[in-house]
Amino acid sequence: MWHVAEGDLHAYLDGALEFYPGDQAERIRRHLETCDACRARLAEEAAVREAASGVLGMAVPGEVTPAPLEELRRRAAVSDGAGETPRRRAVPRRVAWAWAATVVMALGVGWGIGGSWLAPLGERSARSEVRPEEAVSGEASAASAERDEAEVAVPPSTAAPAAGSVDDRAAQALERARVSGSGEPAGGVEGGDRIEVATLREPAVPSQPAVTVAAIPEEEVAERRRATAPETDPAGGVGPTRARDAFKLADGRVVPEAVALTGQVVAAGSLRPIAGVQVSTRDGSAGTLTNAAGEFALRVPAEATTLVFNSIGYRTVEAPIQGQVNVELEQQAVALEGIVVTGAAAPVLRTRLESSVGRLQTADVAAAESRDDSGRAQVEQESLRQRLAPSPDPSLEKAASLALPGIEVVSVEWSEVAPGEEGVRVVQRLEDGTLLELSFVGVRLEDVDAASRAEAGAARAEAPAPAAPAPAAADLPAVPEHLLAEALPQGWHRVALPFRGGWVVVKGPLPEARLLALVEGMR
Amino acid sequence: LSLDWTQLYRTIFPDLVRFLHRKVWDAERARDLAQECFVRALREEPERPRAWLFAVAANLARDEARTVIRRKQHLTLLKNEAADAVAEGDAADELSERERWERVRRALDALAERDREVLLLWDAGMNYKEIAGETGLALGAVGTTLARARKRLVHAYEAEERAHVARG
Repeated sequence: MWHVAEGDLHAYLDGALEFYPGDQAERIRRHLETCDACRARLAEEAAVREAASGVLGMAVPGEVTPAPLEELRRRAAVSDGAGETPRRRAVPRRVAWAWAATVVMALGVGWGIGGSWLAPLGERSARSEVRPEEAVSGEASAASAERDEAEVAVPPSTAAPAAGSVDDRAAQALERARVSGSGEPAGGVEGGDRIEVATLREPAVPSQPAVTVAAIPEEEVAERRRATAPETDPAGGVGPTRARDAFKLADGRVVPEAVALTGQVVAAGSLRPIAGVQVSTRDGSAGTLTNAAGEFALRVPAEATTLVFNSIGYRTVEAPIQGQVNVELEQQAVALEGIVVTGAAAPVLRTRLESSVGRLQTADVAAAESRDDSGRAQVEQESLRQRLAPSPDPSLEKAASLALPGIEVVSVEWSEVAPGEEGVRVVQRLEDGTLLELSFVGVRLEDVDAASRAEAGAARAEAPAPAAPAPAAADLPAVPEHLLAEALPQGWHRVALPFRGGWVVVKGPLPEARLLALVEGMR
Repeated sequence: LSLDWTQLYRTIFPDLVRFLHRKVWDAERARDLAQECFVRALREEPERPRAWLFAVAANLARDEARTVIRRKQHLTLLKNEAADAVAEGDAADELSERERWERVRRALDALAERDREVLLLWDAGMNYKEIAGETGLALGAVGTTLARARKRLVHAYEAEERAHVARG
């Protein structure tokens, strides 16, 4: 049993698994469906992700009104007409500054004569007077203040041809001023709030030459452009829940629009929030888990209509998609103890289905029961029987007895417990919430009474570092290498012991001695 | 090949401002820079405007940061005056917003450059592939970087809050 790497958990949460090559995404998804330890970690990472978004969300700028696109178009056109983009500026910076200031000053006079443009100009001027700090920066500040005026003073579309050419020069000069606006030692500050920027941070990328915008690596941008994926630009985008970018389905299709949903899942009756509930669209195109408060946030393709809520121990619920989706989950008729047994069909299900055995199984049973009156029920019953029928080892009821006594059982199922090795996996939860994973390989289940006659043999513990395990005693059978091959999450340990003709491997975030003590109790 | 720039402007501009704001910490300046990005984009008509715009924005912000460093001597002198001015005149809630920004900014500063960049790009709505293209990271490393960045950000921010409480 491997476990999903932390980065991949984030990729999963961020909907980025689709970019993973080969069947990696599928492997990760399948593992998450069956590995409780990883699901617990996933819930933790989801909380971290939420918290980080929350922190960033605290520092959003207030309403920022963009200039009319027309104005930007004009600015763009102006530099084109000049035949020289601001980035290819040859004039030394200091000179450019002076030039910009001069040109703009001259324009200022022109506007004075123009008369009809005076109103916005006056407004802006008044505003710049309110911020006396600007005066500090002298020449540069004057240029910057004038620059603002220039932008405002240009009438949207009614510019007279003569004035237009002046405008062009002005805007061109402004471009220069803007581009070179960086870095004059004497340039100083442009506004009081800019001072806030004066964090004494080290150069962001010290290795790069200190150049102005003039050195924007256009070629690099173009190169990246070629390298990046087909553009997935927002196409629609109306309404408050508009997602910021296109939505990518699990199969790689791109749906232009996505809808952001939030909601909460609580237990019916007690109304207590339920954490770790799987929330997904019916086609599985999007999904997440609820946090400790039972809340979730999810972006789904606009075409999705139904959310499915899934959690061990609760009945699966479907709810129509609206802005806020709150649901109550009913406890499954089969209580937790029973859930253990519902893994009975696992061996076959594991091979035929891609989803979690336990959940699918119970959901299917429920569905079949509730549709007894319909013709479909027949089919479902049939397929159920088929799935339940032959299995390599249909005695998971007995397997349930493998669990450590007196400790809550989270799940029992047949699955791949080591590379190339199938067996029974039992997940149990200690009172403090710690999850333990027990894997049984080659264990004789028909011989439950044999517990008392279980093989003698001392324990063998394996250090988390995958150093070649040295036998503790010569008479011990060696633990098969592949049972120890899998990397453990940080802080986890593993203990392997001979058990009823096979092996039991116990994993958990506990010291080896503790794991050993727990398993020894069982033997 | 003509792009619907009105549409692009409407949809990408807010993201661009958000992205730039976390770099220059000045809403007005972020707006100016975002507009500058669009002016250039209108001129260049890039094939993939979104990635292109963010690449230019990152460069502009980087340039801005250098400017700030070069100015730091000057600014340090002025800083106290400005702080006084803010404390005097403004409403209490603006002050607390400034304080909040300041804390987030300090928390972001606690991140490694690359981690911060990746986090901000994600926050601005870029996907893993776009982030990988933008930063030169391997695709598989984006998640790892984001995981680390998110953890550090949360921890750093919590430390900031504790420090704030401690200061009273």
